[in-house]
Amino acid sequence: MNAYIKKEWMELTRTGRLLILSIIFILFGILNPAIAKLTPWLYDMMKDTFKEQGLTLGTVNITAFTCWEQYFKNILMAIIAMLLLSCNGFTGEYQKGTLIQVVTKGLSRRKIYFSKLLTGFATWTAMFVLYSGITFVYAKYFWGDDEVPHIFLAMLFVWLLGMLLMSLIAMFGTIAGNSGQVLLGTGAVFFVTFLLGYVPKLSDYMPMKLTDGMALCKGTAQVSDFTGSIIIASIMIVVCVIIGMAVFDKKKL
Amino acid sequence: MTDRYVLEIEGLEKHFGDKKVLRGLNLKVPEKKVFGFVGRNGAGKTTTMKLVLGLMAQDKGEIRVAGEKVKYGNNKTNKYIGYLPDVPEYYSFMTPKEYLRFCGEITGMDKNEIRTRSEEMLRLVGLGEEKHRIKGFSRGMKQRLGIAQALLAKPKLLICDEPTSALDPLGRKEILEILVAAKEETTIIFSTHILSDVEHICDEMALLNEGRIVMQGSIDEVKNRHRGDAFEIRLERKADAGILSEAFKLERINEDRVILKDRSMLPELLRYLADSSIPFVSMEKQEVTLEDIFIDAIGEK
Repeated sequence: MNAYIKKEWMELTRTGRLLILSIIFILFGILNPAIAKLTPWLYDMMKDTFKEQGLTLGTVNITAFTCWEQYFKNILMAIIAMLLLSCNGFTGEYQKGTLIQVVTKGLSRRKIYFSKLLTGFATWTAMFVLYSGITFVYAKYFWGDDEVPHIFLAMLFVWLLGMLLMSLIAMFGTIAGNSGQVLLGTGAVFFVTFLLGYVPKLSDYMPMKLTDGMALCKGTAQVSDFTGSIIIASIMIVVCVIIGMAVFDKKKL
Repeated sequence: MTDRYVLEIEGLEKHFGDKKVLRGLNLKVPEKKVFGFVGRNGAGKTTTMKLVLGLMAQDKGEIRVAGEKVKYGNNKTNKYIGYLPDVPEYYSFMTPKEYLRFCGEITGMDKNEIRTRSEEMLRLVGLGEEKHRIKGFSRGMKQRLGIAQALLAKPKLLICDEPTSALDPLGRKEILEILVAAKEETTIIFSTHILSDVEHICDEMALLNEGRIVMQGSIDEVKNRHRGDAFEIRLERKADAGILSEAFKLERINEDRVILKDRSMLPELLRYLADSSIPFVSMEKQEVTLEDIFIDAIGEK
């Protein structure tokens, strides 16, 4: 299994995927405080235009909250980037036929599956740490005095959502024949849970609720409000992992 | 004892939809031989190999490798097998050496063994000095690396799926030489439709047609079984060919040559030649080629 994980790592680094992912997540990480910092300046620029139209803008008060609000907004973009750059993990190997040699050498399919899954989890975790770490350091530097309650917990919600993304990618990777189908499947699951989130009774149980960590920080929501979505997301991860494993056992390579 | 045969296949059947590809295939491959698996394109060669490797599930029948049953999915018997696909594909971001190390590690070889064996194998296939990544390799180079990775773990059985079909004559010759060298340590099954390759390097062969083995044995056996008793007689004077073919009802193949098919008539024919003072240039037993046998066997069906 180690050998296969080593190969996955080599693939990540040598094909440049890790570099691209890192650049994207670093940029997004910097973007959050940058937008917050630029907001007053943008307001100033617009002030005169608005005045002519008879609108007056009050002074904006930029705090650490402004920065963290951006963090939760931009995470969806980052997740889409993650999906686009990770959806080829299984299907690329089916198309090239490289797994045939690995399987015929006696490496068990379970080991291949879990190597890919773990590599996915690790990559996401690393990217999450980059993204969150950069935002956190800037927020502390610029608005160090602002106390943002529950921020670490709210970040962990985002991490859990990413883990769900990676297990969905792995599961659809075992089912699909090409990366388009993986994109479609994973996208469809996210879209459906997003739509179901509009049903008031269901919204608290949908994984998409996990991007709503700002409410927790602002105090408009309690930790217990997130229990449902945490449990559902965790169950979905376990189910995806099990289905993926079972499908891959019998996958025609 | 079953272990005298590295591979045993009994009553193997496989169909894709309506199409029956294998219809009760039986095959036994003895150890330390180069075994030619011959058949037309689409005869079921690749399917058979994939079933042996556990990459597909059979509908009926049993396959045993080194005495152990082959199971679809997680196939344990693959540890005895080295496999070279028809068009081998690799992780192109690795160098040959890295790829062999990866192969050694997933097979569970220890570090020292991997190092010495990789070097040995890369030298055998002529890639010992290759430091570039696999990305830019030619087909022949990939095929040679394929043999190196297949032989790395000293398998009991090396399965090659049409290893020479896509190569130029020089590349083909190289691969055949490597396979002959590899025979020292393993049994090789080698599927092909290039009969001259079979004649060059195989000890035994089986002919697959419409999902069944229609012929199996050593190359000499197969040839002997099909060696007609025909003699070809070349005469000095063209007119004699006509006389002879009329007197003995012989087939005349061109102006000065006739074929005698019934061997029992040979003494009488010789007497006739002597009595009538008919001079001849040569008289020889006709050699059958594998091509003749192949066409014969497939035509019959």
